Amino acid sequence: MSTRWTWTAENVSIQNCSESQATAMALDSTGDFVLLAGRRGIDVLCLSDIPHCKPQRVKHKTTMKWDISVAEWNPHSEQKNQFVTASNQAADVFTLSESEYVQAMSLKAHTRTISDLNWSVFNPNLLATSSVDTYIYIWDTRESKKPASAFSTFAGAGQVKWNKKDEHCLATVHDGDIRLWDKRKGNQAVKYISAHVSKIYSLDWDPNNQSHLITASQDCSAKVWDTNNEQKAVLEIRTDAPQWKVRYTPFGDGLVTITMPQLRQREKNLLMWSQSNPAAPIHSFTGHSDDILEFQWRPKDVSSFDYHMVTWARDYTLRIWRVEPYLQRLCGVEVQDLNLSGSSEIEILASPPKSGSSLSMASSASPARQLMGGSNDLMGGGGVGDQNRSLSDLDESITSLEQEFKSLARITPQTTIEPVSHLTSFFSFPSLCFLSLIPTYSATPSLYLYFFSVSFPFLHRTFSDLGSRSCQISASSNRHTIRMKMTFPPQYPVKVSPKLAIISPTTLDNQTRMKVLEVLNHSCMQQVELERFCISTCFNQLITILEGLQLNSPSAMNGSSTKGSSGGQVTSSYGTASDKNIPFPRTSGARFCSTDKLVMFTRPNSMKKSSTIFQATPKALSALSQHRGQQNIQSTRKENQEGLSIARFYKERENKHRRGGKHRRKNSDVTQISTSTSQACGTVFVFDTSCLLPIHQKLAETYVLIPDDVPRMCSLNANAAAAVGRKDLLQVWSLASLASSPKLSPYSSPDHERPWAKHPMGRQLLKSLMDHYSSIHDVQTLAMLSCVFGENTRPRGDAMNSPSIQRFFVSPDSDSMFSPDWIIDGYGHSSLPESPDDYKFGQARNPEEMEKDIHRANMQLIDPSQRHQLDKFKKKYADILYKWNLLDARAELLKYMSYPERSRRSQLDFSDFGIVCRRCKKRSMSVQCKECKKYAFECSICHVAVRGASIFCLFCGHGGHTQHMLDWFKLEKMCPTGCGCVCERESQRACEQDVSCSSPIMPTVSAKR
Amino acid sequence: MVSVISTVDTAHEDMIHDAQMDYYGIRLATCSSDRSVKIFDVKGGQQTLVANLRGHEGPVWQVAWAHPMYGNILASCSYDRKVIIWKETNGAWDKLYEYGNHESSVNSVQWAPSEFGLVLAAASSDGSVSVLTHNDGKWDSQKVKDAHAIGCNSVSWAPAVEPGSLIEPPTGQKPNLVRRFVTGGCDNLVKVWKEENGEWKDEHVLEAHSDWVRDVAWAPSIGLPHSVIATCSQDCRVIIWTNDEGTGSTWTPKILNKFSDVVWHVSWSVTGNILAVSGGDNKVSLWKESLEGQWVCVSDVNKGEGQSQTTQSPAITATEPQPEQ
Repeated sequence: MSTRWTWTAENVSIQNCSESQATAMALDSTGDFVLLAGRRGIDVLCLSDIPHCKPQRVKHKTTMKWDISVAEWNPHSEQKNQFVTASNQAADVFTLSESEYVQAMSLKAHTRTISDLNWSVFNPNLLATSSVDTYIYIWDTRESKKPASAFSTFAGAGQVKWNKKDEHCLATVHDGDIRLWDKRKGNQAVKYISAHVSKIYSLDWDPNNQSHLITASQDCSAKVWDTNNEQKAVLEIRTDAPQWKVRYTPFGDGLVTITMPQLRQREKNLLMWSQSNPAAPIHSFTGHSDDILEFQWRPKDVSSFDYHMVTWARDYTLRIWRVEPYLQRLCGVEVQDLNLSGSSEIEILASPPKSGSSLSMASSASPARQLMGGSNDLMGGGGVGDQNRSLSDLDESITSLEQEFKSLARITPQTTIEPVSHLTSFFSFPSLCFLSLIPTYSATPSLYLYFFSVSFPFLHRTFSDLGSRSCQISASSNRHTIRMKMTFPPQYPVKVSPKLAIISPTTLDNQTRMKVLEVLNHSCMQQVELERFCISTCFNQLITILEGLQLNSPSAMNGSSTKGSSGGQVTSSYGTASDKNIPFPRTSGARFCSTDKLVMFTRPNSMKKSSTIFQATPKALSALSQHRGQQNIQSTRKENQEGLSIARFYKERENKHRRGGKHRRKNSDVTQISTSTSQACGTVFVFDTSCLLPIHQKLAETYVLIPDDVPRMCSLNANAAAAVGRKDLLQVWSLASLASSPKLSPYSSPDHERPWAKHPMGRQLLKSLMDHYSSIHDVQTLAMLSCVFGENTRPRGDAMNSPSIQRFFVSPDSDSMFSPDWIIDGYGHSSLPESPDDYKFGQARNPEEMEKDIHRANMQLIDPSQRHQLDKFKKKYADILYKWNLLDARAELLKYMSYPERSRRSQLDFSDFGIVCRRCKKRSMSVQCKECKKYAFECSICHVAVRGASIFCLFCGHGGHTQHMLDWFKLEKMCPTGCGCVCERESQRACEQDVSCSSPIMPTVSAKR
Repeated sequence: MVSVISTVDTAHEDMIHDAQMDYYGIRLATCSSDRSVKIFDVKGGQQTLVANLRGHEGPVWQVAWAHPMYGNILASCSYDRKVIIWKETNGAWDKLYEYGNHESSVNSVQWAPSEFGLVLAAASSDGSVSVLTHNDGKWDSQKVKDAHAIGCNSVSWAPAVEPGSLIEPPTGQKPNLVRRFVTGGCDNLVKVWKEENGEWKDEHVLEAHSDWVRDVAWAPSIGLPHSVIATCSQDCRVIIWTNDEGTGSTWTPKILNKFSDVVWHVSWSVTGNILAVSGGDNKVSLWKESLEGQWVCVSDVNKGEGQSQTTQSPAITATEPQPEQ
């Protein structure tokens, strides 16, 4: 439900007031004056003339020793020029006298810091203050010497708030509790609500309901209480951070909360909720870059549909948030028909142009100033941002379309403000024709006329008609004229693109016209798919096409349009302001790949010089559009062709870097840019980093595993290690050779001397070796050592010591048609000794046997309990061997695994096939029956006993030599014995049902001789 | 010496955003702002273009090779909100699957360890992480919504480890591999996710970076009983997080270094002892943990200032690892 809205500068007005370093903010009853109070002073700002307003400094007698903790204007119109601030123990009341605010009185009675104060809603003279000194005082400003009444508790009070409906009632907060007081009964609280488990930071009375109040607490929750039923909260809103402030919205059933910033996470602190849905916020106001300290609602202007909220944050910006009707509706407000636009209000509120663009205007030469004169409000706001605002509310779209039309006119000023020299230079543009722009809507067309002409050397003429939701764009170069009509369906821009039509007169032939439309439609579609507005994209596209037509012959149009229709022109659709949460792409990097390769990609040479000293690497992809915004006219022109690209970003930056202080701007820049496009991407380097790794491919190739002669194997490996220059390994292998010498091999009986493993140079030495190689991540050595000294010093010949083997027996002689005669032999009762670990103490067992087991464990040079870790080493090393394509070495190594590799998808961990002897009917695991010494399995084709690889049907049990069977089943489907079994199908079914083996249809038995 | 074994001129028409080699180190995949993914054969210093994969409609941010046991499969993700999985069949590369269920740019893709099957994780700027699983020719997708506020920048799988396996010998039944991955996002957090009963839950939230986390990399396991994660961030820091399996559930951060520019990328060597760090300053440095547990820079793959005249191989100065003992 939670939506993330991208609010543009249009909606937010920022006033940077870092001077006073205010800690408290208050809005007066008219909503025009904002008080910013801090230790450095108290300022009063007038919001109604915000772009120009100068803070009015309030005279303050005493030097401020303490921060101002709280400030509040008198809410009563008769006393609207009065405000109170609290600083440490005193509350100072200021009033306006002769256009200056002067301190009228100082209310001193508290003995500790005043935590909160609140003017009475009903009596303009009454003020309540609370303090941690446990007193709550009510003051009458007509008698400031001492408080009119006082309430006392044993706990310090954090908040005090008058009820908005009941003139006698007020609420105070003491840690996690709320106390309700009647000002007429001073000695005791009327009610006591145990509200939160931890400290309450904020309390607000419901403006519409006398008995409801809301609290926000450290415990990450805000609760609505009914004072008539204090047992249980009416509503609870949970957030994942402590809540700092909560207030009812002046409309609907909404709430606004400020959560305390989680560590460095300040993006979504200001949330709006609806009481009907406490599960998720309906909106999050994002923009402040630091903790939000205070927020207040402005009284609504009758003419406006929007409510405005003023926030003050530790980043010392004041923001005004427009709460649009759709948000109000989410809070349950019935909003009237909105076809009337309230945009006049928006314009006044629009912030002064960001990034100092207006400053550069003013400082530049006179033509610009004339153009700009008095049109600040129209220039205001990031017009480009408009088109990127996502929108889901259909009623809104009318206003938005209007804004978009407006933004159409505005996009250009954004990019072309800077140098005045170019305003004059356009006269010399050879391709320039006359231009006129007549927006039916705009009040000052001349302004746009100029800017358009600078940006686009073609004739443009746009008519926009809000009523019929359409606009006309006409553009012409000295070769071609295009007139295009765009009609906007009501749903636009939510997945519905405008209808485009090229209207006569035009110089384009039919074919080109179609192509132009195709390209434009395509780019419009792409925009509206993302629920973005598309006029400006369309516009840019049109210019690109025109330029293409202009510069090249008409036939070149084919190229550019096909490029466009294949998505070639989408470049312009990325890097826009809506990409502010997409990270800026990596343009260089390095990755380890395979075993020892390091792949590195870099920026091309032309962009290599990182000018980080001058400019930090941007964070988000949206930096591209901001970047574009700063570019001059010439490059703007170019970018209209190229769109935004990351490469371009670097190039521009590079150029900026290169041109020093002296040659500020040269015309050659453009040519430089275009010539340096020769190499668009950098080279990819592949490095060999094997020298840095503890493992060696050479060693892997030369290492041997000889299970029968460990000492010899060790000495061979020692030589191998010496050959690659690993002296440490030479030593290790020499030691290993000694430790594994037959002289040291333990006695089988526990009664003889202690095994070598128990010697300090036995297990302990090996352990320290293993530890060392673990710490340098030498998995190769670790794996080799575990093969040599691990418990399975002999490769696992038989995979039967795992308890989870299922064994199948195949009786080749079964005549019983369609009846599988293989017996599932449950969990293996194998004859081989189980591993010592599987024995558990406590089982009734022979002590002698137990002793033997312990002895057997002690014989191992590596603690058997580490067995699994050793397996991991082997597995990892096997994987590396695989990467080196040393498959034999890998297979050798894997034989040492103490557990068989488990097939991922198999239900069974392992399956094994045996044979039921055709003569004596005894089960056998080898081709030769142990009982009758005859070969147990006979080929169904050649009737000769099978000694080698065989293949058989899982269903009927018939089979034979692999080659014979393969040849047979190339042509046939039925069993060669004529038993009637369709072997292929049946085996597959058997596989699926029981074995689910991933092997081919017919399992192969690799028979042992 | 770290030496260049091949230089590949990719002939992309725009910036390259990722380059990776396959399991064997034979093939190189690159992706670029020009919306294409290219595959090169780089055996023996020679480069041959194997395929030029077109299908994305925006800049392609990252590529990832699947384990070869599933065939030659490559995944790519793009600004166009799509993840495309490409497969080579009989020498021809084709689109195997296209996943388009993200609402914003997909910034990172990575294949799970092969033990889990053909499973891909994709991290997107819409804040979610998708886990795509290949099952009997179909792709099932599972979405971890709101993994990170604002956006998720990177994802990395944990190596397949059996729980508690290093201490207790496994019992007879099939080992239960636990699936985990780590993500980094624009909320400055690093989150470790664990699959429990088919649901992805954030097991740990690691908080130390003061700006967007740009990349996360779970170190490969060689069988040692601890896990290591490297993270890098817009705040120019690289942090190494360690978790001792024996001692439980806390991840201890350690700042590897604070760089002069944004750090974009961290990558572990196959043995998990060397970390390659690269960032906005066009430089690459290699870091190694000394025996005392300090991280030291062993090499600077420096392609910065002063060398821009030539396309010579970048100078890498590396110290030989000291022969131990």
